[in-house]
Amino acid sequence: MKQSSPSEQPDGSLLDVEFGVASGGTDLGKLRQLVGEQCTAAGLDQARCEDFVLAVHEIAANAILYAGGGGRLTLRRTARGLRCLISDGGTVVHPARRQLTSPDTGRGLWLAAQLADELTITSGPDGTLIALSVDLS
Amino acid sequence: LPNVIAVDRLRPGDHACLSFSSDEERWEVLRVFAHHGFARGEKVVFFVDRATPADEVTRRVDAGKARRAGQFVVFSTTAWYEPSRFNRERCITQTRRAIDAACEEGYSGLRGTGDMAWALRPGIKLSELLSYERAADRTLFRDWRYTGLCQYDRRRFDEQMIHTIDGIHPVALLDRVGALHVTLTATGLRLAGDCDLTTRAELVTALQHARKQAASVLRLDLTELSFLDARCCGEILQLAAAMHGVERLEISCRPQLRRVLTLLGAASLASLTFRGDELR
Repeated sequence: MKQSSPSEQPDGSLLDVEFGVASGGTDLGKLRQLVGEQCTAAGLDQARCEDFVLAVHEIAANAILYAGGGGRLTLRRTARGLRCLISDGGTVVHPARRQLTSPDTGRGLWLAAQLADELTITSGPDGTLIALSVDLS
Repeated sequence: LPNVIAVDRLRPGDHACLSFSSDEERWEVLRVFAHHGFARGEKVVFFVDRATPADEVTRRVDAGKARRAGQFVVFSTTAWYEPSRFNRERCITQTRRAIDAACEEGYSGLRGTGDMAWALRPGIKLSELLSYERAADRTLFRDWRYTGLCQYDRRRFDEQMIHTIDGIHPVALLDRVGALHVTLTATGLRLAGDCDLTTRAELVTALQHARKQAASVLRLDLTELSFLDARCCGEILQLAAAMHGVERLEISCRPQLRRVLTLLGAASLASLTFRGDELR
């Protein structure tokens, strides 16, 4: 499992993890635990924490299934709460097209958007970057 | 038989056993055990054999910060269980004192886990171990201040022994983070652990089997389930959608999961009902 030692970095970074088989990185079950622990430690209540972990999972699972087998997840503190970035460096497939070609993927992405306070998608030549935010309050 | 759950569902007052056969998987379970204790404001104590230095335990559990703060402590099983001759009452009294001390220090309780391989050393009868486990189960967990996890290595304790030990513990933990456990009940299924892409096939097989076995109402108990992803929610909703006539699917689950299932379309299925939410 590749994982940096997080909570002691000064820039608000809580996690920086490569996940999925392609990177030889951590599997989804462990990834969920790590994200959940950091969210709880940051003060997110249990129900919102479970929602956010599910949202993050759906995006990471899509990266494993449809974008080269894995990706990279970073989690950091922001002024309002927590922000999770998931990037996959696999084949560039625009998320809108993914939704059209696979109802399963569409549902995961849609659910993630319902559960997070904010979800943004950026597609570029190197892959897709999805940012999920949750407010602390 | 003990109630099987994943480590993240452990609660204060639980006396659990973990029988394992992979060290890597065991340490991952123990890492989650420790971090859930930290999150609950509990003091966490690990009992390990002399061959495993405290620094290595701290590294494996990723608990450096908690150890420096005094929230995470590592003891040797030799010093704890048999400084001289093993004595059941002394061990129980020591544990009770440790629980009191943790609470006096301001922690919400104590969470302890020990590798029980010390009991295999010459001079300790297995009957003594069993009697210790039974006495601990009767006395240490009643006031919900202690969460205890006894680790048994399946490569060292024989199967019959593990079976007997399982019977003493009210709770048994899944031996791997992310695993799914399915129990067939008289009226349906009870699930524990995680449903995601790695366990989805198991879930589908279990649901199909349960539908064949069930009378008109199939009861799905998800109250102890740790995680259910969107695809697996979809499998459950599809099962309900395929039901006709008098067939019904009745789900028991926590409010968070009910909300997710509802977002994904549960409300539009006439054959699906939720049993009163069971808060944990």
